[in-house]
Order: sequence, then structure tokens, then C-alpha cells
Amino acid sequence: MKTEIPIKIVIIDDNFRDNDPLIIALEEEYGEKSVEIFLTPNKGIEYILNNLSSKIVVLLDMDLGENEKRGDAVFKEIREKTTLVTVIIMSANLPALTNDELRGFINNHAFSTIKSNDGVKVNLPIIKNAVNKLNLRVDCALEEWILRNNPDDREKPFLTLRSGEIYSLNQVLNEIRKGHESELGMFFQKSILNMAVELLARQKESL
Amino acid sequence: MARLLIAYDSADRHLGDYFLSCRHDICAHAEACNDFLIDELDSEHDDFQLEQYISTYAEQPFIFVAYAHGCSDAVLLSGTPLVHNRNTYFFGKSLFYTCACDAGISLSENLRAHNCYAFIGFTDKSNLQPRATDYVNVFMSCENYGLKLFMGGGVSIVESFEKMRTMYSDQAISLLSTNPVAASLLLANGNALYLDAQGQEHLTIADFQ
Repeated sequence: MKTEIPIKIVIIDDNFRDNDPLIIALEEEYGEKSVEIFLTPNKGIEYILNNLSSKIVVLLDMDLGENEKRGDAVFKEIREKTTLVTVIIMSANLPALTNDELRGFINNHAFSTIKSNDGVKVNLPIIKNAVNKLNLRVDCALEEWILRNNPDDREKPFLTLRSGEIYSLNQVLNEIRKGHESELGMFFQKSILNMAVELLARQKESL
Repeated sequence: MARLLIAYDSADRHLGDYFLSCRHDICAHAEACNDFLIDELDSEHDDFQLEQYISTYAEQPFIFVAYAHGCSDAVLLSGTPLVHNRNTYFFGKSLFYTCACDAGISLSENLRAHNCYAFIGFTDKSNLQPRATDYVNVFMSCENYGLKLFMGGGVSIVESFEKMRTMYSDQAISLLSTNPVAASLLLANGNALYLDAQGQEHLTIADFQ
């Protein structure tokens, strides 16, 4: 049975080549199957939405070619569908980003920006940091546990609120992923973190 | 003999079975203690019948337990207020023990203002119950643990409460490896537990006999 969610690094960039040093470094770090390159945004978005059960870090280029949407529009499109993936904005010319574009990235929680022509030594640590942050998210930790359960069990009624609302484990996870939009999701996150603190307080650091 | 008055909303569509199980559990314990006179109010009863029962106690202290829904200023039976701000004065000389969510907020203040000895309840509106039978039993055991200790004798209300909180925490950690979500909820419920026994910290079951 699946016990760990795979990491996927999804690169959406019309100029990326397979032998790019950053690609080689990422494949060494996370395995060849973990790195996916898409030259057009639609294919990249389609892949992301079909693989939401993976932990995904997206490297999104701002300039995707003359006849394509710009990176900020693609980012907005991804965010309209999911808040689960971590997005890093790439550009060869970061100072050229407009105030509106920057505001959109910040408001929709882009993880970072990287200069695409900076070397591996500069960019790889930023990507690794994004992966680590993803590993520390409560929803990802919970999802790993939920995936250990039988798929049928994940859909069964698991929890009843005093108000009578019933949630399955998968619905609990969805509430957590809604972040601040869900009072119940926030309550779960807080409860799970409190549980970790309780364990630490009892000298059981190996969670 | 100590008096025990139990209200339980067994007809509740979602949690009726759970409330009924809690009632069975505490009744079995009271019978095992062999020192309790038990009166009961199920979903068919209302606040008038509650007040009638208490009136027959003729000022004898009693323990009131409610397995029912609640809100900040009331405990409800079948969606209707059973204990509310207009009848809290009936609860002077009582220990008030309820799993109703939110009741620890203003209802407890009102009860204490009318000389209720002590209140144990929840301050959080999210007192949650898992559905799987195994976990329900764990939640029920925790919910009744403090009261059972107190009823067993020799333990003060404060000690009972503290041991109840520890029970929640211990059970949450035991549950962690099999179900971290249920474990987290159990701990959250334990953290939402609330005791108001100011001035009555040494209250024991002997004060009710």
C-alpha cells in the first residue's frame, strides 16, 4: 500500500532543455521520474491538476513565448484550481516584473522568485527549501497518513460535528486544504499541531 | 445515598446513540457504586419536568449530568432549552457535569452565580465525535472518567478534573499510532474541558450523601 506521497518538480518553460544543469541537479536530488518539463502552459496545468495527490513544486517561467499566456496568468489559473501546489516564479529579468504581477504573486502565495540564468548553486537551494516546506505542511503530513488507509475507508463517515455534519477522512483533508477559508480546517490544523506539542512535551520527539 | 439526575437526548438524529451509550455507562457505574438514587430525563422530557424532579430533592445536594447538545447559555433536549438562565437557580447545591458544547461559557457563570457547587463542561463549540465504534468508546470513557472518579469517592472535584484531563491526553497518545486525526480531536476535546469550582475545591461525594 502507498505510504509516501511522491515529490514532483513541474517545470513550465518553453526554453528549458533536458541537459540544463538545473534539470540534471533536480533529477539527481529527487530522481528522474520526479522532474516533468512542459513547454506549453496548458499541458503543464493539465498535468498538475491530474496529479494533485503528489506534492508538487512548480517552476513557472514568466515569458512562455509570443503566442502563449504570460506566467502571471498561468499562475492565476493554477491558483483558481488548487492552493496545494507550491509555485516558484522564474524570469530572466526579474526587475521587469510589474507591480501588478508582483502583487498577484504575493497575494496568491507564490513561494519565491528565481532568476532563470542564475546557476544551480543559487537556484537549487530555493527549490529544495520549497520541497521541505511542502513536507512540513499539516495537510501533506495528514495526507500521507490517510493514504495508508484502505481507499474505501477514506470515504466512510469518520466524524460527526455536534451540529450533525458528517465528514469522511478525505473531506477532513479537503477542509484543511482550504486553509483560512475553513473554520473546521483551521481547527484541525491547530489540533494536530497541539498533538505534536503534547508529544514533544512528553519527551517523545520521534513523531 | 447521593442523588444523580441524568438528562440524555437519545432521540437526537446524529448523536442520540452516543448520548444513550454515555447514559448506560454512567448508570452502570452508579449501580456498581451502590450508593446512588438515579432519576432520568430523556428526549421526551422538558424543563418543567426537570424542575419538578429537583423540587422533590428538598434542598438535598445532587449531581446533574447532561448528555445533550448545548449552546453558550443553555443545555438542550430535543432542540429545546432544558437548563437555561431562567431555571439555573434550581441548581444551587449541585455538581453540574455536561458534555454539551459551549455550555462552559455563560451557562456555567449563571449556575455558579446561583450557588451551584461546581461545573464541569466544555468551553469549545467544536466538541467533536468520531464515528467509528472503537473511537467512540474511547471518547465516551474520557467523557465520563472524571465523574466516575468523583462518584467512586475519596477524590475531590479538582483532583477528578485533573485526572480527567490526563486521561484525555494519555488516551490521545495511545490512539496516535492508529488514528492521528481521532487522537488530535480527543486532545482538543480534553483541552476544551472546563472546571469552575472556585471556593469548592475540596468538594467530594461525601458532600452529596
